[in-house]
Amino acid sequence: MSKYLLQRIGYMVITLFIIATATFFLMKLLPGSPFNQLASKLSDEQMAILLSRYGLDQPVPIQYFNYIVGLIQGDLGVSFQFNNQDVTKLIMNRLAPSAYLGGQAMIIGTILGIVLGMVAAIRNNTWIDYTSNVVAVIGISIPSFVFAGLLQYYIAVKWDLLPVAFWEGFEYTILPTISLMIFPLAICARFMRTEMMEVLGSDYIELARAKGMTKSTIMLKHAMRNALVPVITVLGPMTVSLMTGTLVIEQIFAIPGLGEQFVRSISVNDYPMIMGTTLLFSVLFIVVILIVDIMYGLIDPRIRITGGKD
Amino acid sequence: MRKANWLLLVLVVVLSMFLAACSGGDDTTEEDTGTDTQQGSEGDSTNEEGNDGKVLRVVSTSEIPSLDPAQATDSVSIQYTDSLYEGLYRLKTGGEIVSGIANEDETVISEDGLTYTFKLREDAKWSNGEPVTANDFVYAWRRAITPETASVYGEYLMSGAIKNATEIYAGELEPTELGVTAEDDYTLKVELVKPVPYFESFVAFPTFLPLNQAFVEEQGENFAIELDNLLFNGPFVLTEWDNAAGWKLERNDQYWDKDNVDLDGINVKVVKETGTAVSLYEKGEIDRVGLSGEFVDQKKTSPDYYSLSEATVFWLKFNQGSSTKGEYMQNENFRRAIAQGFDKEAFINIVYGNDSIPADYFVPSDFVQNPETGEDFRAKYGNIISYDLETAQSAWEKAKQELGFEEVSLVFLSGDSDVGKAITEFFKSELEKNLEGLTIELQNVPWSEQLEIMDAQEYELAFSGWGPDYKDAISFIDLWETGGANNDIGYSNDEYDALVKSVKNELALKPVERFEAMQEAEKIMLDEAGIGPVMQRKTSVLSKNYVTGMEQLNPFGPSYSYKYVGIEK
Amino acid sequence: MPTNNKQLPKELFEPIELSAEKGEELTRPELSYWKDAWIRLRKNKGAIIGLVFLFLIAVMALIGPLMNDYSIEETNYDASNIPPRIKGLEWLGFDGIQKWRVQGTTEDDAITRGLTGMEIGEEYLISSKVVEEPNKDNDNYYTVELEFDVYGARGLEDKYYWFGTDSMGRDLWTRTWNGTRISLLIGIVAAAIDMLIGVLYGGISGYYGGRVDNYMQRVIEILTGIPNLVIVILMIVVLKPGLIAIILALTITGWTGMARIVRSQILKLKNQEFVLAARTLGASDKRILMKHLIPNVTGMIIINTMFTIPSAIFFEAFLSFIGLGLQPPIASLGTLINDAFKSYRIYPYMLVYPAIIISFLMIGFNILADGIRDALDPKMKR
Repeated sequence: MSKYLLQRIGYMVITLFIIATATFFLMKLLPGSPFNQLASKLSDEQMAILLSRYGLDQPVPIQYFNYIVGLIQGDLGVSFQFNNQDVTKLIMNRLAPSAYLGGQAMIIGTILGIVLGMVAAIRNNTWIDYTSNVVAVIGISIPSFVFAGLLQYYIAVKWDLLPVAFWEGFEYTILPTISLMIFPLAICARFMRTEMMEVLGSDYIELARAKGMTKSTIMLKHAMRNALVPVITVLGPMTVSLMTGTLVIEQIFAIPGLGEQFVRSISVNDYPMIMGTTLLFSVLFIVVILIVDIMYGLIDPRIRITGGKD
Repeated sequence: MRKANWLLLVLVVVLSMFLAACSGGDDTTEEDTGTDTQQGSEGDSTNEEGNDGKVLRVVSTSEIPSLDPAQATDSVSIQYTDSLYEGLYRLKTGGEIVSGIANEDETVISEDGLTYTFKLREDAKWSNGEPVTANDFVYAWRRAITPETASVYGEYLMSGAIKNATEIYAGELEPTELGVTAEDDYTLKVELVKPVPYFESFVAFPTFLPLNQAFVEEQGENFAIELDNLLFNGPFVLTEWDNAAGWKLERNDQYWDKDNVDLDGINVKVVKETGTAVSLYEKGEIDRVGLSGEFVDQKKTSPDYYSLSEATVFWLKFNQGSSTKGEYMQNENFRRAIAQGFDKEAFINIVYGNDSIPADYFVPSDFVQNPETGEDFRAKYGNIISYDLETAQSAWEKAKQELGFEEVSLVFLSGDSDVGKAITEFFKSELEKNLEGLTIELQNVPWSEQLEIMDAQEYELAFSGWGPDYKDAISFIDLWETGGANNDIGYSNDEYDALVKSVKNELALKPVERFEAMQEAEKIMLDEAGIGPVMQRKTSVLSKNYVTGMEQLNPFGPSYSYKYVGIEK
Repeated sequence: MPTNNKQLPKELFEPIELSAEKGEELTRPELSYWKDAWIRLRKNKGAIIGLVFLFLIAVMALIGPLMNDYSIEETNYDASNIPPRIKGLEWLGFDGIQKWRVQGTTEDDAITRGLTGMEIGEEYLISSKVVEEPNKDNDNYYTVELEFDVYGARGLEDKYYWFGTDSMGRDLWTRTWNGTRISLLIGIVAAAIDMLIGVLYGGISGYYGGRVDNYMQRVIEILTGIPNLVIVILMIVVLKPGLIAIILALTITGWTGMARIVRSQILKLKNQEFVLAARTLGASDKRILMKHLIPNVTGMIIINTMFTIPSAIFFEAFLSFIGLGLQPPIASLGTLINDAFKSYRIYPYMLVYPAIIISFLMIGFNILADGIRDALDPKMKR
C-alpha cells in the first residue's frame, strides 16, 4: 500500500512537471505580449528594457529553464499586470473565496443530489421522481450566468432578502452557492438515480432481501455503496471545475476569487499569473484524483487498486 | 484484502485531516477578512444614519495595478494616484489646471520657454509629517527616467522635453544630470530642450508626482505593493487596500488644503459586471455607476442619467502599408467611399445607444481653444468629412475604374468584447449595403492582439481610437506624421509633415500660429480621407443627485478630480 | 413427466460441437440488438414524447429560417428592439406592445422622459400607470409604467416580427432557429467525438489494467490538469475563430470525463462471472471488450453523452460570456441568450424564446436518454 502511494506521488510529480512544461510552451503561443497595451507609448528601447527586466528577451528554452529552476525553489515569479507583486501571494489572497465557495457548493450540491437521486430511484415514477427530474433538467438547461443573474435580481434587488454582491460574511455566500450548486446537484441526482435503479435490480439485493435484512440496511450498506462508484468518478473533475468555473459567479457577485483573475491574466498575457494559477489547479486536480482512486477501493471491494490484469 | 482496506481507510482519514486543516486555515482567513470588511461597512452605515459622513461610494471595474506614480499607466492607477498624491499642479473638475504643491501664479517661465521655475508651498506635508520639498520632485523625476525603473510615461513624456532625459534613458548620462534642480527646499527649476507649450499638463500628470526619497529607498522593492509601503501627500490617504475586493480612502488630515476637500472619504469596491453595479445602484448601495451598451438603453430615461463628454475620438484606419490591400488603400477615392459611406448617427445608436457625437474630424471638440480668441479648435473647420452616401458611392465608382475591380473583400479588425463585436457587425452590414461589390470579413481579436496586429501593420481596415495624455492638439496631430511611432496606417504627406515639424519646433513660442497650423494639418489629412472619423465618445453614468463635482470628465489624466467632489445631502 | 424422461430413447440426443460461436448461439428468434432496443423503446411513452420534441425542434431548426423573408444578418436600424407580433395571435400577447418603466420627479415628468427617451410620439402611448409612489428608498421619484405601440411609432404597421428583433433590428425568429441549428451541431458533434474517443480509451484502459492503465491514466491527468481555458484560447487563436475551433476546443479535453466513467465501469465489470465465462469459452480480448463489456456500460455512456450535449452547448455560451464565442453575425442559442440576458429586464422576449427552446432540447434529450438506456441495457431484459 505505501509502495503504491509512493509510486503515485512519484507519478504526480512527473505529471506536474509535464503540465508545467506544456503550459509554458502553450503560453508562449498566446498572441500579444504583456506590454502591448502600452505599445503606442513605448519606444523600442523602452520595450527592450521591460522585456529584459522580466527575462523575456532571452531565447525561449532559457526562459523555460529559468522558470523551472524558479519553480523547484518554490518561486512563481512576479506579476506583470500588478507591478512587482508576488504571484504566490496574489494567488493565495484569491484562493480563499474561490475554495470556500466551491467547497460549500460542492458539499451541499452533492449531498442533496445523492439523496434526491436515491429517493427518486426508490420511489420510481412517483412525484418525487418527477421533481428530481425537473430539478436535474433545470440544473443543466439554464446557463449559470442566467440563473445567477435572475437570483440576484429577484432575491436581492426586488425582494431585498439577501445582499446583491460582495464577499463580506455568510449571508453573502448564499446566492452564489445556490447558483453554483445547481449543476453538481443535477449531475449527482441523475447519476445516482440511474445507478440505484441498476443496483436495486441486481441479485445480491434480492439475496439481502431474502435474508430478511431491513430495508434501510439494504439501501445504505449494499445499494448505496455500489451506486456511489460512478458518482465519485464525476465528482473529482467536478470539484476542480467548480473551483475554476466559479468565474461567472465570481464576476456576477463581485467576489474576489481566482477564476475571474485567471481569465484576465490570459487576456493581458500575464505569464507568471497564468502559470501559477494553472499549476495550482493542476495540483488540486491530481490530489482529488488520487483521493477518488483510493475511495473506489473503499467503497467497491471488487476494485483493488493495485490490481489489474496479470 | 481486509488489511489493504484498513490501510486505505487510515490513508483517507489522514488525507482528509490534512485537507480539513488546510480548509480550516482558509476558513479563519475568511472570517478575518469577513469581520474586517464587516466592521468597515458597519462604520459606513452609522455614517449614513448620522448623515454627517460624506463618503462617496463608487465601484471600479478593475483592481489598482500600481500605486507607484512612475508605473501608473491605466485609468484606475492614474485616478487613485491623483487622489492620494499631489504634484506641482492638479486638475480641477473639467480639466482646468490649477495650483497644487506649486503656486501657479508664482511660476516663472523664461522668455525662450526653456526654463520653468516653480515656487512650492511650504505647508505641504507627507502623511508621516515630513514636509514636501523640491528635492522630492527631483528624486521622483530622476527615478522616472532611470532606465531600470522602466516607467512607460517617464520616457514617453520626458524624452525630448526635459534636458538630458533622452541621453539618460539611453544610458549615456547619469540620472543626476536630468534638467531639474532644487534651487532651495521650495524652489524647483526645470530646464527643457525645446519649448513645450503644454508643459503645465505634464506636471499635473502622475509621472511627475513627488516621492519621499528616504521612504521609497527604505521600502526598496516593496514600495507601493501594500498599504504599509505607501506614503501620501494628496487630498486623501488610503486606509484599506484589499486589491481584489476594494479599497477605502479618507481625507488626509495633513493635507494643506484639507478645508476645501468636501468628501470625508471614498469607498471603492471592485465590480466587473455592469449588471451587478446597476443592481447595487438601484438598491442604493453605491452613488454612481458607469453604464454600457444595453444598460444605457434601459436607463437613459432615468432622472439620474448623465452623459459626459470625453476627448476620445474613434476612427477607421485604412492601412496603406497593408501587404494585401495596400494598393486599394492608397487610392483616395477608395478611402473616401468607406469614410463617407456609413451612417455615423446610426452607428452610435446601435453600438453605444447614447448621445456620443458623430465625428467628422479627429481633434476632439471642447478640448483645446485658440489661445487668442478662445475659440474652440473645431470652430474653423467644423465637419470635414461627414456621412454622405452620394459622394461615397460616386467615389466608389471612380475607385472601381481607377483600380479596375468589381468586387473586393476587406478584413475588418476590431476587439472581441461585446462592443467590439457590435462594431464589426455594424460596419459589415452598413458598408456592404452601401458600397456594391464590397465584402467585409470580420476579425475580432483580444485587445492586446489587436494592438500587436496594428503595430505590425498586418491589417486592412481597423476600428481604433485615441485619448490624449496632455492638453494639446499635437497629441492627435503627430499621430500621422510620416514615420511617427504611432503612424500604423502608412500615411505620408509632405505638406502635413512640414506643418507638424514647424508646430513642434519654430512655432512653439507662437501659440496662435501654431494652433492654426494644426488646424490646417488636420484639414489636409482629412481632405485626403486618410482616416475615416467615426465619433467622439461620451460616457453614460447614473449618479445620485447629491453628488457634485463629477458632472464633467477630465480630458486627460485622472477621469475625475475627487478633491473637488462633494456630497450635498 | 419425470417418469417419461427415463423412457426417452438415446437416439434423440446428439453430441454438440464445442466451439466459441456455438457457445454464443441464440435459441430465441434472432432479433438484432438495435431492433430489439427499438421495440422496447417504442413502448416507453416518455421517450417517444422526447423524441417527438427533438424531432420538431430539429425540423424547425432546418425550415424555421426559411419561413419568412428575413436573413440572419439583415439589419434594419429603424426596427431595432421590437417586441414580437404575429398576425392573428395578438390576443396571445404577440401584439407588439412594449412595456417600459420610467422614473421622474412627477408623473408627467416620467411620461415625458419616457416618450422623448424612446423617441415615441404621444399618439402611440397606449396607457400609463404609476407603479411606485415617491419614497425615501427610490430617491423620491415616481415610477410609471408606460405601454406603447412600437410598430406604429416606427412606421412598421405592415411588418410582423414573430419573435421580435434584436438591437440591430435583425429578425429573432430567423436568428433563433438558425442558432438552434448551430447549437445542435456543436452539441452533437462534440458529444459524438467525446463518446468515440472516451469509450475506446476508457475501455482499453480499464480492461487491460496494470501498466497500460497506469500510463493511460497519467495522460488523462495531464490533459485535464491543464485548465480548459488555456487550451480553448489557444485553439481559437491557432485555428480561425469559429465553429471548428470551438468544437475542437471542447473535445480536446472533453472526452476524458467519458473515459474515466467507462474505465471505472469496466473495472467493476471485468472481474465478473460473465467475463470469466466468455474468456473460458475462448473469446478474444477485443470481443470481450466490444461485445460483453461495453454493451453493459451503454447506459452510463448514453447518460453521459446526454449530459455532454447540453454542457457543450453551455460551454459555448460561457465562451461568449467571456468574449470567446462564435464570431458574429453567426449566432447560437448560447450567444442569443447571452446577448439577450443583458437586457432581459426591458426586452424579456429576447431571452424567453431561446431559453424555452434550449430547455425543451434538454428535456427532450433527457427523457429520450432514459428511454434508450432502458431499452439498450441488457440487464433490464426481464
